[in-house]
Amino acid sequence: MCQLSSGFSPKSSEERVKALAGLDRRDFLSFCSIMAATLGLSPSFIPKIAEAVEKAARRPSVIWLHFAECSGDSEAFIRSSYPSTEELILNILSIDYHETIMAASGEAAEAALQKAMTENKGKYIAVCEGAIPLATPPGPNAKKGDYLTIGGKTGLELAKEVCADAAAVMCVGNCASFGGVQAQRPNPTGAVGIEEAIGKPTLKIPGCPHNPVNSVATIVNFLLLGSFPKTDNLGRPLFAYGKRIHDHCPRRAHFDAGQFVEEFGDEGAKNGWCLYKMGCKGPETYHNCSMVEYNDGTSWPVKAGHGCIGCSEPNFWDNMSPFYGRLPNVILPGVEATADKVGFTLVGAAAVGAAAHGVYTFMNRKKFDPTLKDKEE
Amino acid sequence: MAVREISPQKKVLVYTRNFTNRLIHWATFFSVLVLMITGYYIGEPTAVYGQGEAYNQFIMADIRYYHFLAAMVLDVSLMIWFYLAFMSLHHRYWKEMLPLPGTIKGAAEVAKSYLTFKKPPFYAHFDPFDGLLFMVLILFMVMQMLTGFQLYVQALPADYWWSELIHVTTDWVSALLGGSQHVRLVHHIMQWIMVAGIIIHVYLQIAKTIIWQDGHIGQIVGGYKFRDVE
Repeated sequence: MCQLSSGFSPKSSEERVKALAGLDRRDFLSFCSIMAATLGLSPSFIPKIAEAVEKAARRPSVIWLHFAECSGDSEAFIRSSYPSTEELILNILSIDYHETIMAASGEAAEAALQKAMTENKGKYIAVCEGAIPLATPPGPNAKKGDYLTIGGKTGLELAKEVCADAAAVMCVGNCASFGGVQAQRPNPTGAVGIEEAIGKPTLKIPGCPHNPVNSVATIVNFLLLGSFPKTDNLGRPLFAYGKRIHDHCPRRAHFDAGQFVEEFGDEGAKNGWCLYKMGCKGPETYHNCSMVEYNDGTSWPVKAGHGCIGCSEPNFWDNMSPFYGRLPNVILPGVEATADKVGFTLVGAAAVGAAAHGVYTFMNRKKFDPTLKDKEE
Repeated sequence: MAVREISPQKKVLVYTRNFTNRLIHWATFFSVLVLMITGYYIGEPTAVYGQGEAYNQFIMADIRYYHFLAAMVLDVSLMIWFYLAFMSLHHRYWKEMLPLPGTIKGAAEVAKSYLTFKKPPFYAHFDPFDGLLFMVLILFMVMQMLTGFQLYVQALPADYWWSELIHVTTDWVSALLGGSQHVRLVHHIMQWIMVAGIIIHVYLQIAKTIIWQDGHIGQIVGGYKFRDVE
C-alpha cells in the first residue's frame, strides 16, 4: 500500500530543512492517499482528506504522555517518513507536549503542559504511551502508584489530570492499551492499561510498537469526519484491526497448501513457506501489518521470516507465549507442561485403567460366567 | 479346543434403541472421529505436506473444511439429541443423565458391580453409570462446540449475519477463558480428555457385553439387547 507513495528514501538533512520550510504538494497528496487507503476509503476521498487537513482551522492539539514503557512507540512515530516527522509535528498535528522530543525541560515543560491543557480544554487529544503501575511500593512513605513518578506526580495522577479534559484519549502501543510487558505475570508493579487505570473508554492503537500509519490515520479520520473510527469490542479501530494478519498474509497460500517451515533455515524457510509450525500467531492476531507493513512498507516480521508474536492482542506476552509454539503451556500448581503432555497423560491413565479392569475381570471370570460355574460344580 | 456352552440363563430380546437414537450415535461417532483426526492435523500439521508449488494444493484448507463440516454434523446431531432428551416418543432420557440422588445411587451400584460382578438391575436404555458418563461427554462436546465456534469465527468476514450470530452467542467464552489462545488451549485439552472418556466408554460397553452376556454392545447397531427371564 505504501508503494503508492513516491518512495521511502531517507531524506537528506537538506531535504529535511526544505520540508520544514514547507511541505511540497506531491508529498502531501501521497500522504492523503496513504491515509485514504489505510482507512479503507475510496480514492475519491483523497481530495476531501487534503481539504480537511489543510483547512483544519487549527491543527489538533496533542498532548503525548509517557508512562511505564520503553518509548518504542515514540521511536516508531518519529521514524515514519510518510507522513514524515516534520509533517506530523509541524503541519498536521500540534504536538504541544511530548516528554521525549520537546526542547523544553523542567519547569518550562510543566508550564507547556499546563498551557496546552488550559488553552485547549476539552479539545486536545491525549495520546498515552505506556502502562500505569497501581501497586504501592514497599517503604514507609510510599503511596499508591509510586513506581512511576513524573514531575512529582504519580503516573495515575498525571493520567487522570490530563485525560479528564481531553476530547479523546488515544492509547498507542500495547502497554497503554492493555498493560504490555510490565502487566504480565507476576506483574510486581500492578501495571494496567490506561483504560483500566482512569476508568474512561479509550481508543487503542496497540502494537509493539504501534504502526504510526494507524495512529495518524485515526487522527485524520477525526479531522475528516469529526469523530473517531468505528472500533471493535476492545476499542481498536476496525480499519486497522478488523482483520487478522493471517487473512492477508503473503504466506497464506502455503498455509492452505500444507507447506510449513519446520525449523529456521530449512528448505521451507528458504522457499518462504508458512510459519504456522514455528508458532506464528498471525491466525489469532488482528492487525493490518500484512497490508501496510512497518517503517514505510519496508518489512514486517512475517516478511522477514519470523512468525508473528501477536503484539496487538491483550496480554500477548503471557497469552501468546511460547512465541515459538502454537499453544500456551498448561500451568498446574508446581508444573508447567505442554497441552499434549497433559493430554497423553490423561489418555494413558484411561487406557491403563481400562486394561487393569480387563485383567481383573479375566481373573474373576468364574464369578460371572455361568458356563464356568457349572463346570466347577 | 473346548466349545463354549451356551449360558443356561433364559433371555428375551428387548427393543432399547430406536432408529433415530442409533443414527445420532453413529453421526456423533463419525463426526467426532473426523474431528479428532483433522483437528490433530490443524493443531500440529504432520505427515502430509504440500509438494512443489502452492497454487493448486489445498491440503490444510481441505482438512479445515472437513473439520468444519464434521463440526456442523456434530452440532446438529447434538441439538437433536438435546431435543429428544425431553421430547422423544420412544424414551425421554434427560432424567437419567442428571446427577440426581437416584441416579447417583444407581451409578454407585453399577460401579460396584464392575468389581463384585453382582448383576445390577436391568436398564432398558442405559444404566445410570453410563448416563453420568454420557452427560460428562456431552458437556465436553458442548464446550468443544462453544470454543470451536469462537475459533471458527476468527476466519469469517465481519459484518455478516453468520459471524454476527456466532459473536453474539459465543463471545462470552473468550472473555471467560481470557483470550483466543486460551480458547485454543481449552479446545485442544478438552479433546484429549474426550479421547480418554471415549476409551472408558468403549471399554465399558465391551466389558459389559462379555460379563453379562446380554448383547449390550449390539443394541447400538440393531436396537435390541437381551434381558434375563426370571
